[in-house]
Amino acid sequence: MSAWKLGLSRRLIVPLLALLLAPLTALAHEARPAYLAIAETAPGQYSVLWRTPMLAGMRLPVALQLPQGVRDLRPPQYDELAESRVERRWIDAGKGGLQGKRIDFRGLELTITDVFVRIERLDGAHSTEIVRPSRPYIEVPAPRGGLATAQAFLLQGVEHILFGADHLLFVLGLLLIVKDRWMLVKTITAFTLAHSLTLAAATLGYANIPGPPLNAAIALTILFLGPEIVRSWRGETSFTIRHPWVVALAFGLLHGFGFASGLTALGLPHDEIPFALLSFNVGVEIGQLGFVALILLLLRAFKVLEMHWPLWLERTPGYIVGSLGAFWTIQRVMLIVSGE
Amino acid sequence: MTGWRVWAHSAFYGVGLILSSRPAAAHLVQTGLGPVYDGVAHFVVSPEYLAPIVGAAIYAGFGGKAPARRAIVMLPLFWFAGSLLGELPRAPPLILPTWLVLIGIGAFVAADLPLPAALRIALCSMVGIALGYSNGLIAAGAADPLRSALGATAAVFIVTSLASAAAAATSGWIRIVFRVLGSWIAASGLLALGWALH
Repeated sequence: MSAWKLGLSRRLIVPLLALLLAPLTALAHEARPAYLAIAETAPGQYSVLWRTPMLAGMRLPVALQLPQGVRDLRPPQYDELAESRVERRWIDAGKGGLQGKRIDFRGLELTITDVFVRIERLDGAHSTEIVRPSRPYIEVPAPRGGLATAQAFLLQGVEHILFGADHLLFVLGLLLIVKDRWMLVKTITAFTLAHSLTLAAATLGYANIPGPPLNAAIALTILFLGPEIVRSWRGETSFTIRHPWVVALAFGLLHGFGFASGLTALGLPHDEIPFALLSFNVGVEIGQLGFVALILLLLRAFKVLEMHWPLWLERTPGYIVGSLGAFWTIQRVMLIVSGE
Repeated sequence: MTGWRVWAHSAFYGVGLILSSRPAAAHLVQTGLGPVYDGVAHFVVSPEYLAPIVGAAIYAGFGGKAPARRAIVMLPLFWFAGSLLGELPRAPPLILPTWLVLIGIGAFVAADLPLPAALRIALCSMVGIALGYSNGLIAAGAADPLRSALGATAAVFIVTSLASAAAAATSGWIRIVFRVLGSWIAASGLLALGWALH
């Protein structure tokens, strides 16, 4: 293919991809779930905590609708926090309590956010459920035990990475740079170790980075890989190309804080955090390894079939990494500058 | 067979299959993760789509690396084209009988019919456009049908790549395993036919 054609293809493909992927810009890292905690304080009486995430000063447009017949024991309290809005209520659900009754989340079906629901009974038994936009209500279940809770957090971990386009793009960028299998193992292991470390530190409350600068920094890690991929295509070398695992280790620390946003936003009870953290992290690893395996299988398939893609198409993934990295960086820095 | 004949065959059989269809009555899967993932999930959890695409990809792979390579491009391309057609506002609401597709593709794979590469690709294209069309009809009701179609097409591309490469790279008893898989696809089609008659 001539240089002119290649240049034209780049000019056409990149804006086209940017257009198609534009909605992801609003999604990356903003899939923070809402959280509903219901604790039984006396037979049939409950304290309710309803936390909805705030994004750029806008509250998630989801309203909690408790079952009919429930009455307030005292006036509700509302708190506007930096990243969420918290509503506290104290209710009486009658003799039968809330079990088997339906709680609706009005407006959830119009969002892409899940709601974590934690229900604690008077006897200490508790369960955690996930309510999704496709089924925006929950029928309060009987206690289901730890396994169901682990499953809920594990699925949330898988979702968090599959939905977090920026994490996947960073991993894709690393895959495009890595030259051999051993380096691949080292790089993915380094990324896993690093993000597990900061995920744990952030979730347990030992470290914290505010959301806007963190998101900008994560975008910068993706942008950083763009020129490195181009160097790799040209046959040039650099520290990143020689030691991608070091970059994965360093930047993985930032991505771990990003993963933690999926858990810390919930404001889980302290005793549940280690269990939730473990399940969530396992979910993240399953999602990440699944993505890596899929890419490797595809590459293997193309090799077996001796596929020869046009150069511009072969390089499109690299352009996506660089372009979206740049786009997100600019967008997120602008958000910080504008103070939203 | 020349290129235009392959396209003509694909179009002819694809239109024929669409005309032999029944009304659509299905909904797009909602993952809650947005239209792209909805499109992916709908394809992956719908055996009436997944099984024929796997079968068509395997059959292309049976023909060797060259048909497999072309199937990787043509099948998703025709699927996407079919999806766009199905998403048109006045698209006739017709979906292929599941049993017909399953029996047809399953039989081709199980019998390992030694057709020329061009006909294998024509079959893939035909399956792609016909199933893509019915998928498009369903996706048309979604919030963002174009992105749903893109998600499903990406899934079709991945499945086609993996299945056709696996089939092209195998010989001997592993090829027989793939043919057995074809017979299962055909058998599930017979079950679907029985259910339809019931």
